[in-house]
Amino acid sequence: MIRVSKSATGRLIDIHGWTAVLFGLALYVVVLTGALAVFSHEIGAWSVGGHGIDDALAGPLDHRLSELTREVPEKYHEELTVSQNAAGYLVAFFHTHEAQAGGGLPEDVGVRFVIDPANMQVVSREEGFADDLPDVSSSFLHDFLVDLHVRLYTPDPVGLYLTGLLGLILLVSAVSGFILHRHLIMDMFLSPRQKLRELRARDRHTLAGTWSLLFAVIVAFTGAFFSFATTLGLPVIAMTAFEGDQQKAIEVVIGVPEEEDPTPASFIGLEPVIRHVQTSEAAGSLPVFVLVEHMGRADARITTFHDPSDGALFTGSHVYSGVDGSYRGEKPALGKSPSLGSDLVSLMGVLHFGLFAGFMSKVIWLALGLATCYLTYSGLNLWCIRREKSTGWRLMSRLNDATAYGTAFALTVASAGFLLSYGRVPEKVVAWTLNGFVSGVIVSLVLALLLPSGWRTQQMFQRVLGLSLIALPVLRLAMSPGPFAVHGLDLTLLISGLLSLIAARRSGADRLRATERVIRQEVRHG
Amino acid sequence: MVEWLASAALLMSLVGFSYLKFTDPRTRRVARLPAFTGSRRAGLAWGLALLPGPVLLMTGQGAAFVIWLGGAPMLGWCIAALPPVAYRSK
Amino acid sequence: MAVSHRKVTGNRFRYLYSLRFWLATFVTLLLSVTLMASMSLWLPPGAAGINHLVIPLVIFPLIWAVCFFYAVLETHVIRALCVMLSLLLLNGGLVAASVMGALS
Repeated sequence: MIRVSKSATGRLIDIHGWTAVLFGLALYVVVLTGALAVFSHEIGAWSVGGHGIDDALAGPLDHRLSELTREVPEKYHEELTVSQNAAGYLVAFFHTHEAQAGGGLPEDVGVRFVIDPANMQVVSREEGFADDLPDVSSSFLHDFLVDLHVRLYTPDPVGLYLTGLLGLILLVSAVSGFILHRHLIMDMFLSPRQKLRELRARDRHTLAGTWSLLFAVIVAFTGAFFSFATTLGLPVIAMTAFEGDQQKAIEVVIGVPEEEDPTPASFIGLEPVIRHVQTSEAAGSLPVFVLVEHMGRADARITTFHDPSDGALFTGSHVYSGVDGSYRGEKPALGKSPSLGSDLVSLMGVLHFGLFAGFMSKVIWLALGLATCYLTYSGLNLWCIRREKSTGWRLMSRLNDATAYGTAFALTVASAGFLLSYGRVPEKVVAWTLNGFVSGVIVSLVLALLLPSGWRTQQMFQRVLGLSLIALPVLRLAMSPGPFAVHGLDLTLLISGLLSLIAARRSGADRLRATERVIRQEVRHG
Repeated sequence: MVEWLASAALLMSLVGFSYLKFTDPRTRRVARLPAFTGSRRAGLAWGLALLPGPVLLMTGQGAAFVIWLGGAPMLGWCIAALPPVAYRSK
Repeated sequence: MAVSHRKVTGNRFRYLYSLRFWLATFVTLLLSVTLMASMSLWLPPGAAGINHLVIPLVIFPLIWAVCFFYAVLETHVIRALCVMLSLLLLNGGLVAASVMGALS
C-alpha cells in the first residue's frame, strides 16, 4: 500500500503496539460505552419501565411554567431551557451566567425543576451552579452511561482531555495500522486462517481493522473534536481572536444577537410557539429541546431544536419572538446565517452520534462501535499472544479479558443497582448505580487475577456476562411492567445473554477438540 | 423512504462483496479450493459494490448515503469473515 | 515485530532520549495548537463571520495527526525539527502579535 522506509515501519509498529498497551483498555471502555450510548435514550426509558408520554412538550406547559417563573429569582429569567429527559420527565432550568466564587469563566447558575408531565407536579427543585446540581435520579442510568463515554466519569476538563486524547490515540492506531498492513486489498476477503492460534488472531485483527478503518477514523476524529473544541480549542481561539474573552467568543460562534432591549414585555408562552413549529410552515416536528432567552423582555426569543426530519442529515432549529410569538425562521446550528463552519460542526454530530435516521442508523452505529471494540480487544490479544512466554504479558492478556467482558458486566451490575433502587429508594439511586458498577469492576478484576490466562478466563467471563445479561430483564420485569418498546430491549438483553452463554460453550468445545488433536499427535509420534 | 433507499444500496454492496468473496483467489488458495474458473471481473464487482455511494451522494440523499457508508463495511466484514467451508460443496 | 520487541526490552526508556519522540509528542501538540490559533487570524470569516473561528476547531484533530505523522515518518529527523520549529516560530509569532494587540 503506502511505501515507507524500514526504520519508519519499525517506528509505526512501536507506536501501533505501545499506544494500544498504554491506552487500549481505556479506549475500549470509551468505545463500548459510546456504542451503547447510541441507544442511551432507549436504555433510559427501559430503566424506569418505560414512559407513556413521549410528547410532553406538546402538552399544557404554560400554566405551570409561569407559576415557576414567578417563584424563581428574577435574574434567572435570563435563560430557560425545557426538555424531556430519558425517563420522560420534563426538566426546566431557569438560569443565568455567573463566575463561581473563586473566579474563572461564567457558568450556568439557576434553579432546576423536574416536572412529572402526567400531572405537571414538581418532582424536585434544586438551585445552584449547573455542574454542582445533584443528578436527576430518574435518568441517572442514561446520564451515567453518557458520562462514562464522554468523560470517563471524571470531572471536567480532565475527563474531556482524557477522552480527547483517546480519540487521537484511536486515530493514530487506525492510520498507522492502515500504513502497516501491506496487503490491505489483497487480504480484504481472506477468511481468518484457523490452524495456528497466532495466525488466526492476526487474521481476525487485520480483517476487523480493514473493514472498520473508515469508521474508526471517523469516530476518532469527531470524538477528539467534541472533547477538545470547548476545552482546548475555544479558549485558544478566544485568546487569539477575542483577547481572551471566551464568553464573547461563544456568543459570536453561537450567533447571539448583539442588540439588546431590556424594556419589560409580557412573555407569550411556549404553547403557541410549539403548536406553530409543528406545522409544515416551520419544522413540522415536535422539538426535543426549547430555549427561551430574556423572558419577560422586549427582546425575548424562543428557539426550538429538532431531530433531523425524514431524509435530512442535520438537526434543525427555529426562532420565534418571545413577545408576540412571530416566526423568525430557521437558524443555522452556529452563527446567524448559514456557513461552511456551521455545516461542518453539524456533520461532526451526524457522523459521531449516528442518530440521524432513527432505528436503522442507530443499529448500524451500535454495530460499528462494537466492531471497534473488537478491534482494540483483538489487537491487544494478538500483542499478548506473541509475547505469552512472559508473565507480565500474560497478566496483560488477563486484564484485556477483564476489561473486554468486565466493562459490559459492570454496566449490567450498575443497571441492576439502578433497577433495585429506583422504585424503592429513589434518593439512593446514584449510590446504588455507582456501587453496582464498582462491584462489577472488582468482581471482574478478581476473576481475572484468580483464573489462569487464556481460554478458561474468557469462558468464565462469557458465562458471567451471559447470566448477568439474562438476569437484567427478569429483574426489570419484577420491578415494573412496561410497554412494548421496553420489552424490545428486554428481548435484546435476553438474546445477548444467550449468545454469550453459547459462545462460552463453544470456546470450551473448541478447546477440547484442540487438546484432543495435540494428544493424538503426541501418541502418534510416540 | 430513507430506510428503503439505504437498504437497496446495502443490498447492492452485499451482492458485490459476496461475489468478490466467493471468487477471491487468496481465500481459495489458502483453503486449497480449486481456483475460480472463468474471468473474475473484479473491477466490475467492486464497481457494483461501491456504486451506491456516489449515486446517493449525487442525488442528494445525505442520510441514506451516511447509512450506506457505515453499513457497507459492516456487511463486507461479515462476508469476508465467513469461513471458506461455506462454499466448499459447490 | 520480534526484533522491535527485543530492542524495547533491551532499553526500556530509549524513547526518552530520542529527539523524534519529543517531536512527535510535545512539539506536535504545541505546533498543532499554535496552528489552530493562527488559522483563526488568516482564514476568511465568510458571510456569517464564523468560518475562521469554527473551521480551526473542527480540523484540529487533523492538524494534530498531520503534524504527528510528519514527525514520525520524516526520514531526516533534523529536517523535521527545522520544519516544525520554523512553523512554530512563524505561527507563534503571529499569535503572539495578535494577543498583544499588535494586529488590531
